[in-house]
Amino acid sequence: MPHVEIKNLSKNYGKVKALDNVNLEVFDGEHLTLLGPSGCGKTTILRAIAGLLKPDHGEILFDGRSILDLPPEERDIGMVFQHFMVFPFLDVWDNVTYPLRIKGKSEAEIEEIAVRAMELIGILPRINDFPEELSAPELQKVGLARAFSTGSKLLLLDEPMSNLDSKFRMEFQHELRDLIKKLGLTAIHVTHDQWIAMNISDRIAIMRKGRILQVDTPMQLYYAPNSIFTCNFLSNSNFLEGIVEQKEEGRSVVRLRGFGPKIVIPTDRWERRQRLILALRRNEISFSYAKTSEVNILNASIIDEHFLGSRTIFSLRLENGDLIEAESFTKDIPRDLGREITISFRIADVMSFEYPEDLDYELALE
Amino acid sequence: MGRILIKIEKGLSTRFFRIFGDSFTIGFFLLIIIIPILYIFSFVITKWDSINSTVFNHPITGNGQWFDMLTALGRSFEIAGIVTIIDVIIGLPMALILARYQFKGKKYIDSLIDLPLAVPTAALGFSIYLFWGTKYGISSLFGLQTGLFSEGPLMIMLVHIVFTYPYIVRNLKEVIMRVDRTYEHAAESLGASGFTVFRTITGPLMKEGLIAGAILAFTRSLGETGATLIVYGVSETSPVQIVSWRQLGLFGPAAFLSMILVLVALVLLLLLKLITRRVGLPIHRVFVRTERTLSHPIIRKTRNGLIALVFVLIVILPSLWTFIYVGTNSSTVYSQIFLSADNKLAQFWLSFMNSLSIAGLATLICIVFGIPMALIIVRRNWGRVKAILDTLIDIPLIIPSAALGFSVFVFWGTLGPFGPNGIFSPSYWLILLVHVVFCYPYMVRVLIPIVASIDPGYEEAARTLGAPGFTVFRTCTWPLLKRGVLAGSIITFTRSLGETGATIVVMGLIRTVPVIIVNWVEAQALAASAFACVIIIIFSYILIFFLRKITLANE
Amino acid sequence: MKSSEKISVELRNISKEYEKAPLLQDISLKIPYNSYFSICGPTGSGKSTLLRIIAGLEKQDQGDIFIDGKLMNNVLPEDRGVGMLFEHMTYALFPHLSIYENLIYGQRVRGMASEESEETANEMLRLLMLSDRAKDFPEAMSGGMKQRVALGRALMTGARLILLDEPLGALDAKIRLNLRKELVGMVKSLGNLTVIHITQDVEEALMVSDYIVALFAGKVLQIGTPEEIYNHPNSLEVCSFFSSSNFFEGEIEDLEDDIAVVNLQGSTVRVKTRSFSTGNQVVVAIRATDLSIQKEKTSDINQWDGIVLQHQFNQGIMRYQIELETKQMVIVNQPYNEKLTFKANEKVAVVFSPRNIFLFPHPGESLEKKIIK
Repeated sequence: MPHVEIKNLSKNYGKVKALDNVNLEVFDGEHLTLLGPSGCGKTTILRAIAGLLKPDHGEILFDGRSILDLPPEERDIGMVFQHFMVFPFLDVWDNVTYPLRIKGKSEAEIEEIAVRAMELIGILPRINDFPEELSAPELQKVGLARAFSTGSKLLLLDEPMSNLDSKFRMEFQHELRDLIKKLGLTAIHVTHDQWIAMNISDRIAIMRKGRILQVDTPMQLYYAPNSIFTCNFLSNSNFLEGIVEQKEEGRSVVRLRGFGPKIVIPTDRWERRQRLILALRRNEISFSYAKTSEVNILNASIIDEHFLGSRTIFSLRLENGDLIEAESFTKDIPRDLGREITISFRIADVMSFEYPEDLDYELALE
Repeated sequence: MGRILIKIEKGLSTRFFRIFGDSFTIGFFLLIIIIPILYIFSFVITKWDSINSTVFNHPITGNGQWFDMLTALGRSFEIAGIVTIIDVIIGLPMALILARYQFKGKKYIDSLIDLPLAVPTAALGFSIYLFWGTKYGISSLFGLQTGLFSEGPLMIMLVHIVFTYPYIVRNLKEVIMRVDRTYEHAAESLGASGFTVFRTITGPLMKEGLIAGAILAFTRSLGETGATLIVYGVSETSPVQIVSWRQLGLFGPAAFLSMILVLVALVLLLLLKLITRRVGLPIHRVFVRTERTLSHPIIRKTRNGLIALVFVLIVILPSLWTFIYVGTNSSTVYSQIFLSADNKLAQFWLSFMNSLSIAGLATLICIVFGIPMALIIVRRNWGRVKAILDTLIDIPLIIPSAALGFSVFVFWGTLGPFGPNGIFSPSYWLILLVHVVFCYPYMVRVLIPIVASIDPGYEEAARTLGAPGFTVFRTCTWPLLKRGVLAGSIITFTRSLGETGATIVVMGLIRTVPVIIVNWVEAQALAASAFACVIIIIFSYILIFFLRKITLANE
Repeated sequence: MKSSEKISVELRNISKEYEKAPLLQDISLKIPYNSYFSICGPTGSGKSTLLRIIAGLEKQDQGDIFIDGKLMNNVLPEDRGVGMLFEHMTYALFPHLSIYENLIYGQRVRGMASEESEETANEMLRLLMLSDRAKDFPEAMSGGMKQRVALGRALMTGARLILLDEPLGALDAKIRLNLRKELVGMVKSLGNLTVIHITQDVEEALMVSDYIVALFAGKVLQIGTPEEIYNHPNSLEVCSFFSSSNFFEGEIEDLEDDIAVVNLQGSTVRVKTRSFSTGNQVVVAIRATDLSIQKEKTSDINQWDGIVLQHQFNQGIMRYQIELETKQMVIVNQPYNEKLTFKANEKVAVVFSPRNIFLFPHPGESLEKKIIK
């Protein structure tokens, strides 16, 4: 199975750096997603791997061999597209068998491989239909079967679910993940949808403005993001400014700005008097508390309440004037909640970052 | 797929073949199409002395011919100018109707608009001449003994209006449809009445298209030869002047005038491409009450009715009058065609065969060389070079047919760069060459949007599935292109069928149907002309009908 | 809704057909001044058509529209005093006019332009926080800025009734959230506006509205505050569309003093209700958040055995898809707890709390069609 390596890949369009010295390794059999806002370079990487685009510098290796000089038709890849790209003038069978006929395989071989693929993926009943008779998820499945017929073990996916109704997306993402694992493929998947990425990837590479910020498992990215951007992109978090007042082993005390309340954070890697941004996920703020050494407790006033059905979001003001949001299951909200309340959150849940030069830029989603 | 075939296609997909193919396509384009046209400049320069003596310093007429030239040019411009303005006035509302309203029979009106495009210029000219200028036309309804108009500038204008009308309407319709209706809804919701919406929102958003359409109509009128030949009378337009001089063997002046026309056309083309945003429509002052009244449904309905009437009276009826003429004068037609001394039937049949075979061959050549050109323009990233190619392709479209014909005639003939015997003398092959020059831009222009509409993602998908370049073309691009090629072929074929002006200039003894029509009109054998017209109009219209079916099916 | 409130828009028995199929069926609504109404329902329910009829861009086949108490059936859009915001991408801001010219367009075409208009426009620019961008063109602005200008432009005509048709379209989730907040904030700070907002995004409707009109297949099924719609749905459609719920078919075994005893997949449930009788076939709805999972059954009451089919993590909430021993599929949403997660094919027990259960009459064969998600 293929092991893909990208080394020092760069691509410029005039003054714009679409890819800025990118390094990435994709392991055998893993489902790796390139995630980021539009313009971050994720599609550029995918197209470079496919050979549809020539990078300015850098290397791309399949199993240790450079493939940079090979045209797409000679790279061992299968690709699935956002707009499916199922040939409208061929029926499903001819579409799926296309790569096999191009290679000049025998009729028997063609039938065996194609039928197996279509059975596994579940579109065998549609074998004689034309694309115009198929629904969007069915078209994507045809694309998948066709890519699989190439015999390649590397599957490239370019926003495969962006053109599906949100209704279908939920089910389809699981089907897709399961199919890819069943077929034993290595998958490199591009998307801008955090949801999809979090749910089906083994690892995610977060990208922004041509650079990879972090590569990790979904859980790790959610609970231990290494940048404010990633934290904001993947979660609904509150960001608070503060200064380190005290340090002890494994912990520090941070005083929020404007001589605000003190918050204990679970790390000692910052210096005293260093300015920080703390991040707190809004669904980890609780209205009930037990006073323990594992928990931060703060006073707050409720400014606003937004009922969202199963969840309710509160706008709260802290003692120093900072505004934060807290999210809770509606059924878990205490009935007698007044205007002045006490909130609590675990020390272990607080994330901290060095205060950036341009906070607005870090918090932007583009 | 056989292993051998795979190997061959892989070989054909190499870089070498791609470069070879590109060069060959561009080479063909330059040698057969562009250079012959531009040769006229070189010709005029080298033959300046003889031109000078005939045009400016003729021993007998002095600069009489130069004077004639200027008059003819002036007349051409005047007519073109007036015609364009009238076109915009009567064409814009029609384009609005077609773009915005839905009603029964809209499809038929739509194809009727195309009528003048489909019909050979000579046939159309003849039909219009019959209608307005003889006692067999509209005069017969009033019992008059002569036509309403005599041959001359007014008649020429009437003819030109009919020709340019479809260009303007088609162009404007497309431009209007490209304006997002949401802007108009927004303006309405803010309180603007219909007329105000058009003037302040739709108008400014489509003004570039409007100017482009006007320039196109202007050039079409400037270049119109075939029909004008039939109705010119004493007042000659420039293209007609060229034809006369050519027939009299006065190549010098013909060349000079051709060169001027080519120059004018090139300038207009550049203007077209450089349309600026500086032209503005007055949108800052709003005359609320007047515009509200103008937007009233009754005014709107009257306007629509008037436009429809004008359309029928000026465009449709004259164009189809030949049919009525043939119907009411069938005995004369019969005797002139079947019982004539010079066997007109045989003449007609021969010319019809010539027309068909030339059209067929020209179309084939255009397909073979047009497809790669369309692919180059849409798909290759050559930046500036692409833009230049794109502009060059339009040249044959804009140049008056007589000037173009003359240019080609000179290039390949005894006066050209290939020595005293030239390569082609006036003959079947020269006519074919001229027709290729004409039809090529049509084919390429039709193909370009079709190629552009093919999502390159399909070809990318095919490549990731393992298909080398040539195989991608054969298995993926071609199936998606087929319909477009068919449409382009029909357009090319009809264009060739209808070509008059240039053919007359280059022909020797070979005649095509449009040429015969002109001849017979000159010989006053009106009924015979009518017959030829009717046949070729029916034939062309059937072709256009199929064209519509195909393109509609595509949508 | 208090009946003494002044009404901005009133619809009476509005109906419309399209090619013999009913688009809108007998719609009657009263929308008071200064309220934020959203019309929410699945695609094809007729929301856009209804909005366009209110705006006057389309005509109803039957029924009457009143705006500010006046009959509007034959009044042209430009005379209805309504401001409309269009699709989210361009908001139909005129690309060839500057921001200032866009704002002042409405007054100009109504012949209302004057020196005062210039002052009003500048004041509006200030309110929209765009004073320094007056001479810029729409293409140079971000989505949020365009939204503000579009709102301002509609208001400059003096319109106090604003219609929004899916103003946030199919934007990226997080960007949509931010734009939504901006929109609500803008509306609040401009004050004195009646807003009708069309959306198929349930969360959006719940978040921005004072009242929600639930529109399904051309019919108004329910009107209420977000709480009312969510906590007291009056039909299967409303219940399934506005929340993530599980549906069980059952039968009423016994009925005493308004408490119905329902047989639910082998378990017995007691539900407070007044509208049923013994033997009725019913559908019971339980929210996904009202179910929870644990390792194994600790009781035979209100608990079922099941197997985890799939799980999904989203922003701290785990969504489990479980197949019960009775072959019924259920969805369970609960907060992510790293010490207590379950994997696919694991055997679990599903616990439900009898507190929030909804009872609906069984609609017979059309059960599938009524459950919308």
